[in-house]
Amino acid sequence: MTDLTVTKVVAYIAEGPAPSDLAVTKVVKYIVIDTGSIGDPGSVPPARRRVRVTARAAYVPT
Amino acid sequence: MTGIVFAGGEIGAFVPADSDCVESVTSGRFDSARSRCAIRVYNISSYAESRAFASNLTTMFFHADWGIENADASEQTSVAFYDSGGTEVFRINRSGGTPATIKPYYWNGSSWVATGSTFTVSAPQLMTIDLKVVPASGWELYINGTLRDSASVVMSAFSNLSKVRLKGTYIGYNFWSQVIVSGTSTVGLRLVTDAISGAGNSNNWTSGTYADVDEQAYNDTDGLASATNNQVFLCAGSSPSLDGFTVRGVIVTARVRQGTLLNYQHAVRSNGANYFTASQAVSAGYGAFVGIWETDPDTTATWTGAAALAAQFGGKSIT
Repeated sequence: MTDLTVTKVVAYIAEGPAPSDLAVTKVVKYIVIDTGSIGDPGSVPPARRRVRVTARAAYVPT
Repeated sequence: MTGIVFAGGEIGAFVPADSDCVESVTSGRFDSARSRCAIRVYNISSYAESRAFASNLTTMFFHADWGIENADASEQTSVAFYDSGGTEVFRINRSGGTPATIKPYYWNGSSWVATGSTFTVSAPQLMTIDLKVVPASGWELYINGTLRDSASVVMSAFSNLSKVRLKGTYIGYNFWSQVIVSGTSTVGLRLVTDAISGAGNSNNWTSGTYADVDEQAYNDTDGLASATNNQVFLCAGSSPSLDGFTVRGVIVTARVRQGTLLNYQHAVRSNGANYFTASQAVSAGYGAFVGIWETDPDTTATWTGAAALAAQFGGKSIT
């Protein structure tokens, strides 16, 4: 047991994209649309107004 | 008044915590007319974390499509909100079984407090939720546009909201899509995905094309790379149907990692001119980046549908 002994040797290679470049791997565009104010707490739809229509007819002698 | 501070429905607006958080095309769990996938989260330890909101909100509206796959085994947190100090301060839990009980909680500084009157939802289903949280006065929860639960309560342990985590389940999945966060009401809003369909007006990045960043399910094995300051790339969109509705904003998201260059700007091209956001610092690992144009930078007025659809989009590398 006087000799230096090596029982296992492994080589590894680290890999990956070049670290020197700023990289973008996914891009998405979205559009926000407003389908209306259904249930919108800040925009209560106008209440239906009950409109009373009255008419007065008058007899106008001819 | 603060408007839209965050939007997105895929990785790029969100960072996945682990491999239990992926983009899924399971039908019936997202609005396929307006989205191309949902973020599917499985496992209670997994989540998709949003980019920090563009500003901290003292009145927050959170909008999302929430697809529920199965009855869960027991109560768990489905979505969690954080304040600017990084503390989780508000959450929505879903109980086990079906129909399940939906229960909002707030953090009082030492424990979680349930308020409001709980209500039930069955599984599976897809629902649109809008949550309004005002730390100073209370919260309201809308399901499919209808107010279903609320509480008037002063939540003095926090004063703002600045980030959201979309969380998973014990059994089955939570599916999240069409996320919009704003300081004004999100009820009635929808997020339409305008995915890349081809090259835009220019691309002078060192390597890569639009085809390297157009994927539905994210992968980092290909991408655009920039070794020189001020390189710009632009892409064309797929022109989805807006159904004639009013446009409230154009959003661009990107999954970006630093190199020698340390900053990134989102770009839109409207009426022949390029416009950029302020620089956002990029970290060594891939992060989520969101650019927001609530108005058309060409006119400084509300976007027309035609202009929003025609707007090319991309990004610029910055020292």
